[in-house]
Amino acid sequence: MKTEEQLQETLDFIGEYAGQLLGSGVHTSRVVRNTKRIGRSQDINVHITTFQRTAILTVSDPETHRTLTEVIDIPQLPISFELNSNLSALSWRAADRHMPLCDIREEYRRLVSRPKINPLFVMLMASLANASFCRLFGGDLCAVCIVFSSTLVGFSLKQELQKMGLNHFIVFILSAFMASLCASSALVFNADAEVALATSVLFLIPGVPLINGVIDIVEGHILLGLSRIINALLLVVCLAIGLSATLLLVKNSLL
Amino acid sequence: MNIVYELIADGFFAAIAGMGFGAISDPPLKAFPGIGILAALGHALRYALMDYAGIDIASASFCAALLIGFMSLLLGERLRCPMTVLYIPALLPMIPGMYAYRTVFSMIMFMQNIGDAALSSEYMAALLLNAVVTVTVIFALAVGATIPIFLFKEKAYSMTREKPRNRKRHDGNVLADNK
Amino acid sequence: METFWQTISEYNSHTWPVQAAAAVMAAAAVTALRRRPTAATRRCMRLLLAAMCIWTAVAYYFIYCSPRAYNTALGIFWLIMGGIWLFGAVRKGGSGLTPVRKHRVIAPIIMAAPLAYPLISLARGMTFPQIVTPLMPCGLAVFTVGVMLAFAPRPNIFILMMMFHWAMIGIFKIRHFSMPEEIVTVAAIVTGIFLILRDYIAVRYNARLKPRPRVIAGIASAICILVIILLVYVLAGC
Repeated sequence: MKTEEQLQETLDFIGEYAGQLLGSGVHTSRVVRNTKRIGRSQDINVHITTFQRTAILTVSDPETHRTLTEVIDIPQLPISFELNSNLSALSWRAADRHMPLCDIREEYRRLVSRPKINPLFVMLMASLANASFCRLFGGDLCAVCIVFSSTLVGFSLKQELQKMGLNHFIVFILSAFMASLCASSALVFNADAEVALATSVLFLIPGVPLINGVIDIVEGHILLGLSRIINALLLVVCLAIGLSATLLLVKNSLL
Repeated sequence: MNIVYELIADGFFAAIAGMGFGAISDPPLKAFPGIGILAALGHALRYALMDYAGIDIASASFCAALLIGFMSLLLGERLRCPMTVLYIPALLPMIPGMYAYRTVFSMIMFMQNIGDAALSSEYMAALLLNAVVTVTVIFALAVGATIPIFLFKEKAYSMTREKPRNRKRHDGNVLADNK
Repeated sequence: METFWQTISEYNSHTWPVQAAAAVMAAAAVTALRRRPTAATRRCMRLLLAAMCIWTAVAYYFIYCSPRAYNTALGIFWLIMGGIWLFGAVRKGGSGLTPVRKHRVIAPIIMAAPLAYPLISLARGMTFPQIVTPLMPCGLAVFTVGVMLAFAPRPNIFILMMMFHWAMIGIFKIRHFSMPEEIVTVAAIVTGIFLILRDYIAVRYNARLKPRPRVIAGIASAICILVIILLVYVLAGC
């Protein structure tokens, strides 16, 4: 038995929780399961309808059949696997231990404000990754080294532009152009320039939304899955535009 | 001996690639070694299937993704991370980058040679071939890694749950407090 | 390789007065900014860097290097670099470019390193005009890193990484164009970037980020060591 205020309070928290999960790149069925689990820990039923930008949330008290509905905006957050993992664990803990709402909220605040990953670290790791990718595709030493520094250039440009708050499609076009332009200097040294050009832009591939989209589709959340895939494909198109700009500059040398 | 060396080198670079691409999506620090192991095993398996067993790239990718999916089921339980946190970064080194690149390149060359019937049809064929391979491989990767989730639903959905003995100990504390 | 040195020789014999003037202006701008960092001297420095980058792109790559095969892409690289400096100079209230006390000794050495190119060329028995001069892309890259080290308390990582890319190209130029002058480029740029990144990490030591700064410093040092090993490997292969 819940009072109106208690129900409203729970709804507000679950809305915030679901928005955070959906915004930071968690596939839909996990969001649905986690929110229902949190609701169960408070002895209420939760139903959620998700779209790309908003979600509709309904909570109901099984005893009094009182129902509240809210539309929440999904914030556009950077993808975070750590939040995905920790917030899922929180939902299990809440359900297993029957935590009171105030404890869950406190724990949630603590998890959301945990340190994020250092951008410098990401830049170095992504460049090392792209360089080994080049090696996997059979690039020689020169191509591998040039891909490494090209990725550093492309990735640092992406971070600077994102800090300025530029539209992310334009960010992708410019970063892809810059990375492939730098990689095209492999042509000067008769290295495997084709491999270098191909791998230099791969750090921009939106792998998480692409795979999440496929998971959503096979799990039956077809609309949201398709919109995730379309979103990812738009980014891939931007990447291809940036790469084509470089290829148009140097295409005669590649034939 | 040569085969062993090649497989180890392949796995090593795939592990670096997996961990590096994983870092972009902010995984928990404890997941990094797991991602590296999964990426190395998956990519080395695909390499072996393609180069020594002569299997095509899509089927080989599917098998590798299946292996990654099952391994993430085991590792995820030990690390208490959701499976997707482990297997999405581990799949990324298998994205067929060269085919994707050749798709873009043949599209550009097609547009440049649109007046020349022979050349443009040649580039159109290359465009279609590379695009089909790219899309098929990516789909095979995603579906292959998701199959274990469907097979072991209960286990896959409770990856981040505490072990039963920890839960019991906590319940005991609650009871003690109530008294 | 023939074409490479041919284009350099032509560039030098036609443009040496401009190059000399640029070297004098660079020295003047550095001294002025060091003495009195006012808005005017800051703007002068940015404009000078922009002018030199655009000069490198247009005069060196687009005009004199047109016989070479891959001049366009490299020219555009420097054109973008010039555009960034020009944007910084034109923008109102642009911060940055204040003398950094810490690197008083090493920064002037790096900024003056391009002057060593002609000396090395002459020492290994080449004659003017077929020598490497300071106002060439490699010299400009070293000078840019020197300026960032001396005057940029909040460095732009993107510009630094573009210069690192130039050092990477420099390593392979040593063998491909038999150009030992590039050793200076690589050494100066890698040292400069290493020092700048060390300060960058130290300033943000207590930021709430993961993993700990020590891990990142470790990765950065490992990359620097790998670059040095690569340099030695390339030199051994010559």
